[in-house]
Amino acid sequence: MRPEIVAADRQFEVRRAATQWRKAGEIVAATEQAIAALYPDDRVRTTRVFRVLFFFFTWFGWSSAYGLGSAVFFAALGGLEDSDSFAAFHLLSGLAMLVVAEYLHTHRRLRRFGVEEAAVWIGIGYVVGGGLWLFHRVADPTLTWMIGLGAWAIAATGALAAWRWGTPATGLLAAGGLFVALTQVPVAHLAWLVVALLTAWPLAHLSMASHISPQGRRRFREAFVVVTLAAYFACHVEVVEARLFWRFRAVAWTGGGSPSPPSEAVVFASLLAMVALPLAWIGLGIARRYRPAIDLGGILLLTTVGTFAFRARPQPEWLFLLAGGIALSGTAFALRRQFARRSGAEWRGLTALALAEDQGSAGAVATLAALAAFAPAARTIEKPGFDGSGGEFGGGGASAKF
Amino acid sequence: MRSPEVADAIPALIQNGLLSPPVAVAPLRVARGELLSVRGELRAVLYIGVLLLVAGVSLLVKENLDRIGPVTIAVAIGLAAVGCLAWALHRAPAFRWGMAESTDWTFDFLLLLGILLLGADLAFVEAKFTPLGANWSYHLLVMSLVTGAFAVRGDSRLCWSLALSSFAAWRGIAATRLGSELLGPSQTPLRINLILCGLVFVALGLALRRFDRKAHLEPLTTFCGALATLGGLGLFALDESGAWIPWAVIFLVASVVLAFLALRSRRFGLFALGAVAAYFATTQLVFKVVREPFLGCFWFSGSSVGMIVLLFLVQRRFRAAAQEGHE
Repeated sequence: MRPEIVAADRQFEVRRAATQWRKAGEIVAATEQAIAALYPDDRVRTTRVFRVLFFFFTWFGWSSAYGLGSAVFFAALGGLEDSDSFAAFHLLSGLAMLVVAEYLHTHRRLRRFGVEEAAVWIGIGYVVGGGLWLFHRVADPTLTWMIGLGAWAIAATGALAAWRWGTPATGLLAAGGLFVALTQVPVAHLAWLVVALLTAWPLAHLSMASHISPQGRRRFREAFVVVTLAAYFACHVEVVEARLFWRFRAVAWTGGGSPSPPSEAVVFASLLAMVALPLAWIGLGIARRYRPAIDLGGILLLTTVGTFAFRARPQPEWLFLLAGGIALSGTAFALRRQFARRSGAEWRGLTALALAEDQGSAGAVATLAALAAFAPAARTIEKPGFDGSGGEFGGGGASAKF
Repeated sequence: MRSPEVADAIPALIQNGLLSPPVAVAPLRVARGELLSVRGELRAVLYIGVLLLVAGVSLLVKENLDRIGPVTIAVAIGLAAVGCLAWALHRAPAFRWGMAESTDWTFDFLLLLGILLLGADLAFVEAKFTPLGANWSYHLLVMSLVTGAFAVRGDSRLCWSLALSSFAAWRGIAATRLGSELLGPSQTPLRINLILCGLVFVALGLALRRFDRKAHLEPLTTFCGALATLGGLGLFALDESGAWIPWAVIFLVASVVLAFLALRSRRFGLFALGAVAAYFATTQLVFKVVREPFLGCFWFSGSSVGMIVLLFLVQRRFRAAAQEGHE
C-alpha cells in the first residue's frame, strides 16, 4: 500500500473516532470539526449507503459493458473462432481492471468509495477466471490441478489486493483460497489443522499491530476469522466421521475405494477439540481483549452444544430448549450482576457499559435479528374466517400451529 | 475500538484542549486495547436465551396440551408474561415523549420476552376458546397495539419494530410471503394491503415527527412504510399479466418523489431506496416498451454509468450540506 494512502487511513481513523465520540455525546460537533481539521484526510470517501450503491452500479455497469464490448470487439475481428482468444481477452480485461483500480486509488484518490473496490473485485474475478480458462485450454489439466491452481490463484490475488489496496474482504478471500488449496494436498486434514493452529494467533497479533496500516489490520482480522473457522471445521466430529477431507480429494481422484472409518480415539479427540478450541479462543480473547476471538469462541461453543444435542437427541426436546434458554438467560443475568458490582462495571478490562461505539449499527443488527426470529406469521387474507383444520397464528412475534 | 492511531492522537488532542483529561480516559484505554465493551456479546447471549425459551414454551404447549389442559397452560404462560412485563415496567425509565431509552442492556429483551409470551398466550386462548370467533385474526391487531404501547412506554425500538411487523401480519404481510408472491401467482389483495400498510406506516412516521412524540422512532417507521409501499407498487409493475404500465409509471413517480424528498431532508437510506426503485421502474418500462433483445447491454451499461454520475453528484451535495450544517 502506498505510504500516502496509509497516512490518510491513519488520519481517517482519528476522524472516525471523533465522530463516534460525538455520537456518544462525549464531545460536541464543533470539537469534532476541530479534530477533523487537525487530522486532514485527502482521500475521496463517501457514506456506507452510497458506497454500496457505487459498488453495485460499477459492477453491474461493467458486466453489461463487458458483454457488449466483447461482442463488438470479436464481431469486428470476424467472429469468435475459438475460446482461447476469449479466455485471453478475459485475463487481459482483468489485468486492465486492476490497473484501473490502481489509478482510482492513486490518481483519483478514492478510498472506501465503492467504485475502486468494485474495480479490484472485478479485476480479481476476471484475472482468476480468465487465467484458469486459458490454462484449461492450453494444458488440459486434471480436476485436481484445476481446483488446486484455482484456489492458489485466488489466494494469491486476494493477498495481492489486500497488500496493495487493503480492499475489504480480500483477507477472507486470500485465507479462504489457501484452505481450499490445502484440500488438494496429500495430508489435507493434517495440513488444515497445522496451518490453522500455527497461523491463527500470529494473524490476531498482526491485526492489532501498530506498524500495520488500519486497512491491513482489518484484512488480517478477516484472515483470523477464516483460519479459526478452518481450524474448527477440521476438528468437527461430523467432518472427521464423514472423512470429508478424503472426499475433497476424491472429487478429483478416480482411483476408487472408500475411506476406513475413524478410530474411537480420533472421534474422542475430535469431540474434545470441539470443546477445547472455542474455550481457548474465549479465554485468549478475554485475556487479550480481542473481540473477534471472544465472538468466534462463543459462536463455536454454541455450535458445539448444538452438535452434541443433535447427536445425543435429548428427550423431551422442550425440556432441553427450556434448560438451554434458562442457562443462557441466567448466565447473562449473572454476568450483569457481576459487572454491576464492580467499579466502572469492569472486570479484567471488559465492561458491560456502552462505550463510544456505533450504537446505530448495533441497534439495527438487534432489530433485524429480532424480526428474523420473532416476526409473526401473516394471516391469509384470501380466506377469512375460522379454518376447522387449525391455523397459523401469533402476535407480537409469537407464531405457532395448534 | 482498539486503534494505535487514536491512542497516539489522544494525548495530542488533550494538549490542544480538544479533549479534557477525564473525557479522554475511557477512549484512550479503548484505543490502547486496555478496555473492551462486551455489552453486545451479553445482549446476544440473552437474545439466544430468549429465543430458546420461546421455542421451548411453544414445544411444551404443543406436545403436552392434552396432559396439562388448556386453562393451566393459558394461565401459566399469562403469569410468566405478566411477570416479565411487570419487571420491565418496574425497571423502565420515567416516561417522556422524547428519547428515554433504558441504560440497562437486559431491559429490551425482558420486555420482548414478556410481549412474546403474551402474544403466545393470546394466540393460544384464541385457538382453544375462540372468543373472537370468525374475527380471530384481530388478535394480531390487538397484539400490534399492545406491543406498540409497551414499545412507547419502554422506548424500545426492538418492540416498536415488532409492533409494526405484527400490524403488517394482520394485513397478511410477511417477508416470506412476499418472496413467494414474486415467484408464484399474483395476489392482488396482498399487494393492495402492502401498499396500504406502507402508507399507514409513512403517515404514522410523519405524525411522530410532526407532533414530536417519540420522534426518534420515526426513521424506522418511515423506512418500513416506504419499503412496503414501493414493494407493493413494484409487484404490480412487474406483473405483466395485469395493467402493469400504469403501475410502473406510478412506481416510478413514487420512487422519484421519495428520492427527491429524501434528498431535501438528507436521508441517505430513503434516498437509496428511492433511487434504486426508480432505476428498477425505468428499466422495466424501457425493456417492455422497446422490445429489442440487444437493448439489455446498452441500457444496463449506459444507465449504470448514469446512476454512478447521479449518485456522485448527490453525495457531493449531501456532503456540502453537511459541512454547511456544521459551520
